[in-house]
Amino acid sequence: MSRVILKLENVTKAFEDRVAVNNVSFEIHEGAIFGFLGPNGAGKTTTMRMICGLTKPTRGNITICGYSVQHDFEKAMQLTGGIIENPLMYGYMTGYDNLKYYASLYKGISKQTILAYAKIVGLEHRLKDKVKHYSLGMRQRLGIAQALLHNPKLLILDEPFSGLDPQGVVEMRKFLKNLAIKYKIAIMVSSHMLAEMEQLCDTLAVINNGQLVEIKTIRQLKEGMDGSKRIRFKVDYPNFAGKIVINEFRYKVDVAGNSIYVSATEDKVTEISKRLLDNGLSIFGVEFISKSLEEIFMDLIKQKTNGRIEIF
Amino acid sequence: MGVFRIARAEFIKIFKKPSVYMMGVILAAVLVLSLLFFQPVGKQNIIVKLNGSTVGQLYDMFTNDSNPASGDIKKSNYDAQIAESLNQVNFYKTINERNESLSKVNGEFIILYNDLKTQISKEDNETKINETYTALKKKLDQYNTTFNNNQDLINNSEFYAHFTTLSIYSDLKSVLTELTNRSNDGSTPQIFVNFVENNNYIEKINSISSINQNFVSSTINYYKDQIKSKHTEYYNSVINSSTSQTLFLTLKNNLKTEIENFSKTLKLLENDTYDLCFININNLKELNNSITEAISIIESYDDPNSNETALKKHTNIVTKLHNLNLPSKIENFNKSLINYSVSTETLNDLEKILKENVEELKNGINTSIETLNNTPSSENLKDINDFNNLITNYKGLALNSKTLVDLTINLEAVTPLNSNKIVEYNGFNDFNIYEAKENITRANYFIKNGLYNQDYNDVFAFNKNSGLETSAYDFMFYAMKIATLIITVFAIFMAASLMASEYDSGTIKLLAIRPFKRWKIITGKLLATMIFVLIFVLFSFLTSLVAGVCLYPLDNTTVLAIFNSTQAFAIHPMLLMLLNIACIILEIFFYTVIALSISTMFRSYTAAISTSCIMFILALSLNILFGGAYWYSFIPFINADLFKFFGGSFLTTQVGGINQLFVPTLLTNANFYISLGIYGGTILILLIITYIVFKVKDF
Repeated sequence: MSRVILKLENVTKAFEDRVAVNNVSFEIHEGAIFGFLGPNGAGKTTTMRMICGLTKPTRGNITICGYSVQHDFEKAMQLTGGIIENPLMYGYMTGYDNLKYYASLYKGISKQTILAYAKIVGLEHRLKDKVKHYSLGMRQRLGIAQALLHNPKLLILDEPFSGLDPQGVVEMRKFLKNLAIKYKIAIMVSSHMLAEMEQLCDTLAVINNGQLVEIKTIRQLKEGMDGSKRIRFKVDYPNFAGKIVINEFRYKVDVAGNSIYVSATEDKVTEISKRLLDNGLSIFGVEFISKSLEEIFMDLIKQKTNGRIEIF
Repeated sequence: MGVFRIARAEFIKIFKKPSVYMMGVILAAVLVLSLLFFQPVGKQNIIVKLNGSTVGQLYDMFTNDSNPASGDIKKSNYDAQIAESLNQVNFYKTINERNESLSKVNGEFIILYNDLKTQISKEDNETKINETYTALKKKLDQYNTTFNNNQDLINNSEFYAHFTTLSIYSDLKSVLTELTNRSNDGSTPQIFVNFVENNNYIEKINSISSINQNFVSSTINYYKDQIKSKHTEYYNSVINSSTSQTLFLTLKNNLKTEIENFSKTLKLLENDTYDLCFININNLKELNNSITEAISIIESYDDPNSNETALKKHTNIVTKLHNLNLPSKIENFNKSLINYSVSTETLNDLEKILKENVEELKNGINTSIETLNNTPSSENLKDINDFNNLITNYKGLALNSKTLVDLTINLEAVTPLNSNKIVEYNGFNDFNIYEAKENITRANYFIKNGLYNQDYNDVFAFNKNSGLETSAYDFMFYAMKIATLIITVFAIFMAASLMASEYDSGTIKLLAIRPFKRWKIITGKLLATMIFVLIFVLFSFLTSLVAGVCLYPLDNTTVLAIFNSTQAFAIHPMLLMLLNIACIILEIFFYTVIALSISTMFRSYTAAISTSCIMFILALSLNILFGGAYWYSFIPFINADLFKFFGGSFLTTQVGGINQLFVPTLLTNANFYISLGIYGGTILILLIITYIVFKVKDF
């Protein structure tokens, strides 16, 4: 069993008028990438701010490598790097000066280290430019570079993909995965970009209305509740085929283009194909469609809130 | 450790800000401007220089009043000044002695009388009783003699006239006369004691002598009572028996006499500058007007043109007088008078200092003259210089002693009053207790150390003491004074932006997740600002030192620093300069803390800068409006400049023509330790609040 880096135990944050985070507990192990999902106002950022000590939990404990954030703040933060709510950097300074400033807050970070991290995030050619001339994506990279300067064990990233171009997103993903594998850093990421999260994270936690709805690995999430999968049949008369499936199997069917989509277990494929062929239809192709994370996510939110969905 | 790390990191940021270089340029420009605006002060006439004369001629000039060339160095001028000082001391001494001798005899008399009473009641033997009675009679004679001597003193001196405790003296005199008469008419001790007991004479004497300190007010009291009773009588005579015209006329004349007497006493008071200090001038003027009016009302009775009936005239005049409300006006005026006394110890000290020093100098001058007489042909320069010095010393002594006596007596009179009272009396607006104390300490130091050739008023300024036109230290002080204004504003901007800009750009979130407790972040930022201030102050100091040394001579003659108005230290001018710089840094620290606190608590750059700057400007200028007010010294930012407690107040008024606006606030009730307490307390409270707010804040 790998080492636990971050541990939250029954963490609750109550504001005067509402409970932002309610009794949340989870662990992140070293080398793990932990995705944190949830609609706006669900408590994602509040949780991350509590982990970084920017605000204090009303109840519960947060420990980083065994050091309590509340009681051993300095030791806990020595092991933590992060970027919360995408702050502007010091615009009047160059990228290098910004990194130098943050490096000077720690003991023994050499110029080489600064330059190395600048290279890792791909800013090595723009280090001499003032940060106020940077694009949002470049600022994001600078933010990640400053979070990594002191070799943290835990990296907290609030919306790291926002403002990045598609290429940047891919690079960032590779970069983070590399960090987790190579340096055994535990990474906690929150994002709205479900597709990216799906590809990036090992574990996903879904939070809604301050409560943790689900923590599962991606695989566990995708398996679904009853093991059913989405199957696509490419046929010549999709409307007719749809009717057949609905009438004879009572499955839920979606028709789109020249395909029908059926939610059914794997062993039903032969039976459905046979029935379609029996009715004189031609099948050009059959494939299993993975349920997208977005669908799973919507299902989860819907389920736990009794069908009441917030705008997402 | 973390604090230094943060401070170091802040410095990386500070030196990347373009505004910092702008500040450096502005500071340099201001220092250059201060070079242009500095007005070197010409040396004032301190040392009497008489060149081109023989010593004999000098002596003639010094002693001979008729010589037109003597001018400033007339011996009689200084003699008069010293004599005036001594007279002043003697005047107060005489009053004190008079009261003391009288109360001493009074006490002895009462002890004897009590003895006699006890002996009679115990029915002791007759011889013993008679012995005591004889002693008592003798004491009564002594009492009378002392009393008469005192009264002679009072009657013979116009100067004392308005201080005379007339009513007290007349009351006491009547008691003494009756006691003397009774003791001389051959009555037995028993009869005498009975007589004294029946008439409560001992109580009367006691009540009279217990108030013998009230010089001015008792005079006024006497006339006030007279006028009051006359007025009442007069009023009643008209109201109750309207036909008694003869009585009315008598009373009218009596009243007029009393009012006129009172008016005369007031005129005497008004003419005497000393006493105007203690009297509300507005009250006095109002009272004088009312009295003039009252006299004219009374005189209008004799107006031949009036065809009113006598009765109607009476009634009119009485009503007019009544409406004038003279007795209550006098009452008000009386309230504004205060007790006026100087302690005998102070007077003895003053007299001793003066007499010893005058004697010493006079001997010096005489010895010098004797030597000259023995060698009449002597014309060498050394003798002339020595003689010059003696004359200068004599002049210095005269000036210093006058200051010392004037201020000491004024201070003693004011000390029992509270600050409100001092401000209330118009004449005292210009009298600053702290300044007076400081000047007394200074004059004392010079006289006691034989440093006569110091012109007391200008001593603290470096240039005045150096004996040269202007010293490099004078320019340094001037330049530092101006640089301080600029640096304080810079420090306020710096401290406010260090905190507020973190909030504005959101970088506070990136700072707060570093492994530093929150208090270390604040302290680190404060430290960074202070190092920044230190660099600017040192830059100004070195620049002004170099410029000063290049342009003016660097004179290292010791200067006199007066600490907290009571202790005098002769120190090297550079030491005083460093003390000045330490105080400047403390002052800037105060505004830095304010700016940092406000920007932390309210997250507002604008609020922090405007509040701090307004405080700074008020501290510079508010003393013009409220300098004398009692509460003024408790405003925290008034106490931020501590250099005034090292004699700094006088420096600024005289060096380089700095505008009066920049004179540090010198409080009438100033005290170094109280100011330090208010200064330290304010900073401590602000920092604690800031630390707590910053600690519990969510980012």
